[in-house]
Amino acid sequence: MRRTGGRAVGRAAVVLLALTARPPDRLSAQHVALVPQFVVGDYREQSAGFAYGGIGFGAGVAARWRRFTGEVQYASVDYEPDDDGAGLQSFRAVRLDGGLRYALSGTVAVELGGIRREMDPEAAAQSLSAVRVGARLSQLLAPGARVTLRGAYLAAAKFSGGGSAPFAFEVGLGFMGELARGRVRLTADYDFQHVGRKTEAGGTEFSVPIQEWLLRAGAGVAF
Amino acid sequence: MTRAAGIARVVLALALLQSAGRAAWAQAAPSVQNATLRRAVRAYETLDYRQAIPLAQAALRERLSGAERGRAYEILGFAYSGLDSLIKGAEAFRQALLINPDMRVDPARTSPRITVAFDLALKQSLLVRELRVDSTRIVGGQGTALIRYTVTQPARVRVTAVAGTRTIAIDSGVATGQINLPWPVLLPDGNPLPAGNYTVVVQAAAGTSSFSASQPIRIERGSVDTLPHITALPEYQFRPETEIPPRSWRPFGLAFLYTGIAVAGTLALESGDLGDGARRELVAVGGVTLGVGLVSLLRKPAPQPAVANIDFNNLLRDQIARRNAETARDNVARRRQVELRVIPLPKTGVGR
Repeated sequence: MRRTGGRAVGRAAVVLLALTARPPDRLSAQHVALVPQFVVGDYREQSAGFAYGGIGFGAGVAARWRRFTGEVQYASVDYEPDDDGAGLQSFRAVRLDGGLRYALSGTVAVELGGIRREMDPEAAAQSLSAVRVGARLSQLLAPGARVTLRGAYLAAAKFSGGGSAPFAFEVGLGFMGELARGRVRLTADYDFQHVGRKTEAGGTEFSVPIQEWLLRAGAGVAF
Repeated sequence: MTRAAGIARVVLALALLQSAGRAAWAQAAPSVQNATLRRAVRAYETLDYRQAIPLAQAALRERLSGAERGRAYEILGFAYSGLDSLIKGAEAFRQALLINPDMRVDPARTSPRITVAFDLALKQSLLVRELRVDSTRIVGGQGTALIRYTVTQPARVRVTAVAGTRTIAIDSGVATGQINLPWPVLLPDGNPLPAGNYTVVVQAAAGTSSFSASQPIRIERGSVDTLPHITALPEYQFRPETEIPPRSWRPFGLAFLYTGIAVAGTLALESGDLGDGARRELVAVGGVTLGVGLVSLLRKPAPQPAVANIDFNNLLRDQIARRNAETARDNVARRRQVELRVIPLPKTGVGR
């Protein structure tokens, strides 16, 4: 499972290199931002007894071209069980979010992307992959300060332990501040994800919901 | 009133008018060198017309200057008119006018018999009187100097400016009465007259009669002043291009709204089976967002571009630039222009 996380990091690095390797004249029509992040997470699955808290690191890369914005977010969080006495196993969650946004106006954008979250060790928690269809509202609070509200439906969710999730949503709140004429970015993003996973055993359907709260705080550069 | 008293009053009134005419004439009279003429003047001033006439005639047979000859004819004109000899008086005045065409009598201070004789002399003579060239400052080719004169009879009049052997035609035509002739002070090729002394000559001819009058003038040339460029228009001031907008609740309201929706969405989606999360992540991000919104509310608003003022200033700058461009073009033309000053000089001779 560690190798899986390494591949994700490698893919993110390739995307980042591909974006930053573009010659300056081609970048003049784009806006590329790279933001390393500190990540705090809370993960719960099946019942209140399976609760984990953790911290980790991450990075976000975003590139804008005309009305389109492509974004990739990587996060690696080491989760520890909230209750040490419950005999739960610690694990690392490596999450990769990617998507393409299209701005309908200066405020509203629609988004199509995906999420992949892999657990290491694999049996410690459910890995997840899904397609994300969402929208976001974005407003300037002040010159260089922007607040963003996100909402998305996670479709076609797949789990390492099987099952389906017809009801899976995300809500997010983000703040971005720009310094040095937009060259430096400070970000704080909150993500809440609820996946109404259902499994079936012996003809009986079981509800095994999954929830994750994630805070990504970062400082990066834009060019 | 008796008949004798009435006659006495008429004689007294005539005597007063005659003495007034003498006074007016005496004020304008030049000094006299010839002794016979001086005696004639004294005789006229003492109302001894019968003595003044032969003395003036005797003086005319002597050697006199032009002015003295004109004075002698004036005495004859006044004396003959005073003795009711209208024809002789008019003839004497005519001779005086030929020597000094600008001679005039004041009707308010002179006996009607004298003014009648004087007017008769004017009508009988072809004269160019009261030739004047106004002192003027003009730009060559743009203004005119004014030449004024009076022609006493319908005549063909030719006006020229003479400098040495060079004669420059100014105007030619039939005229009578008072004439105001605008003169552009240009050569026939359109160039301004060179600087120097000129004589404006007005020649009038009718049948066998002719008369001319002249006025010396000086032409001076100078450069035309150029106009300075402007940096502002009078009564139009540049406006500040930024303005501080009024304090707005909008940033805090947006932060509150977005955070509220995120909280509501989280609470709505959270599953009770999984227990209550700490929601510290939401608190952190929501706190930052609300904090920024609150700071934006409390902070003095940053100056914003005042679009209307910027447009106004741009229009003002365009207008100033346009005026300066016009000034620059005007100055190019002005540097090619010549300022002409026409200065009349004292006359040294009399008409002929």
